[in-house]
Amino acid sequence: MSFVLPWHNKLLTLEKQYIKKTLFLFVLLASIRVPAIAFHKPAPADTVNVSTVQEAIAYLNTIGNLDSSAMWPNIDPALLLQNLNTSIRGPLKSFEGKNTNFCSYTALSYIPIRYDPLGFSRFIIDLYKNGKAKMGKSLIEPGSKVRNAAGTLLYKGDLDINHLAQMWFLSLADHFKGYLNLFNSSYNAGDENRLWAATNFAKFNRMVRRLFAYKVKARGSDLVRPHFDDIYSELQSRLQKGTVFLYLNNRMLYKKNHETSRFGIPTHYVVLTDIIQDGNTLTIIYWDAGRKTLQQVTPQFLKKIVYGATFCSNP
Amino acid sequence: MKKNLSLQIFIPAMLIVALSSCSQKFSASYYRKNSETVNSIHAQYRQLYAERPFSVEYKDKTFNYISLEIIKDTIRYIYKFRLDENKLADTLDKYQFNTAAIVGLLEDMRTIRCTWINKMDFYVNRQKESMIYLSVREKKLDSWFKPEKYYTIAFFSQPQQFDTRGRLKATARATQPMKINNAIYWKITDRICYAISEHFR
Repeated sequence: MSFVLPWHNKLLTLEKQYIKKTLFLFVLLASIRVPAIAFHKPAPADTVNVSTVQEAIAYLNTIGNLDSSAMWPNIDPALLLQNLNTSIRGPLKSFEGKNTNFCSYTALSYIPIRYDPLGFSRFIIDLYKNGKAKMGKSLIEPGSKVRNAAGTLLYKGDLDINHLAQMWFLSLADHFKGYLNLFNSSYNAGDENRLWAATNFAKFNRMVRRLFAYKVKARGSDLVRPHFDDIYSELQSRLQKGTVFLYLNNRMLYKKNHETSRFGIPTHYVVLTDIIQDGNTLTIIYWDAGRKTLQQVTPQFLKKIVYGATFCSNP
Repeated sequence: MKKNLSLQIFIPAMLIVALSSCSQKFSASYYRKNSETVNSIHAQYRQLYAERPFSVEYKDKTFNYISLEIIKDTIRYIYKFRLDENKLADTLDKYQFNTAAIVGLLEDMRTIRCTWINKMDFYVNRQKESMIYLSVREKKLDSWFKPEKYYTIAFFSQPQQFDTRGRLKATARATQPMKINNAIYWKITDRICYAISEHFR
């Protein structure tokens, strides 16, 4: 025999209501946060070059020497020009630096450097001279803390001597914000390694949409992996038509310690440049931290580490 | 009651002191005890790297699986192997490595539980410097409450500067220790330092 106290009944009703409300809120948030656009929709036109390396070099030659800018007191103008020349001439080289949260900005730099080097060069020179510049739909106008910090980042590997990357990455991190940046939205020294520079999946897709004149389709989210029936075929078919970014659990792909965690989270962005299948082995070639990397994985492993895929093509 | 309370505070405090002093003693003595093998691994790797740049990671606790990173100018190849697989030697041959020497290096790494070896560049006053570093998995550094830690030994190409506590710093004038790969390095000799880190690379 069991009996229920009156307050117990009330508590049960309240609990049910709470569960219903939480479920409703979860469904609402999930539908907003996760852009569930399937990859197998009609393919857009191929990605094409907006400008050429030769045009960018010709533009930089017209500039000659760059005067120092009061807007960026710690940026060395000669080094900035040298970095710009090196970046656009290629091959696409090390960019991100060590121990920073700049991987998303490094990954999206692939688009302007590869497809519009002239536009990118003009943007950087404008940003340096005027402290603000427009790219796509965004007017990038970094605050004084960021402008003073650019050129002072040290012990970050190649980033130490890449004033172009310091200026570009800090400006992007200052301009675009996502929910990961809520509690650290204003730059302070050392924030390049902290949540201030972090990028959630929705913010990444928003950055690509606003900065470049591309149609962006995305699958995935920050917590739940997207389902792929055949990950090789889907990524391969998309690679034929445009640029593919992957949002990955890098702890599994590129281990830095031997901790085993049941809860994987994505922490890294790369540009997928090729994928080849040989039996149950996939060879993936991706642009990671400014360097091309080839790695062999199984389809199961790739499905396990991919939390998001962003596909960009011409509108 | 008072006696119980003081015991409750005293015993955990003593445990923490004992654990931390164990870690410090280990750090100071590890290189001295294993210097011959560690120096030999460094010398072998430096020579092999000069011929063809690469890095090696032991992926598991049993030290049977490796990840080999072959570094070219524009691309990095990452391959995984079991140590007893024929594919390892085939791949080393294909990329024209000194296969016998690399296998010897892998054996030496295994004997001291060295999980990773690599060469890394860093910059001081915009001048490029480099170091070869190897990370060791050591049970003495493990703790129930903390994530696994690694003992990293770095060999610098040039003599380095240190503060009065023996911490590596960028220049003689620098007041703060220099962090390389997010770790503070401590002096063993002018060119050799160690760090205790939560990451092996």
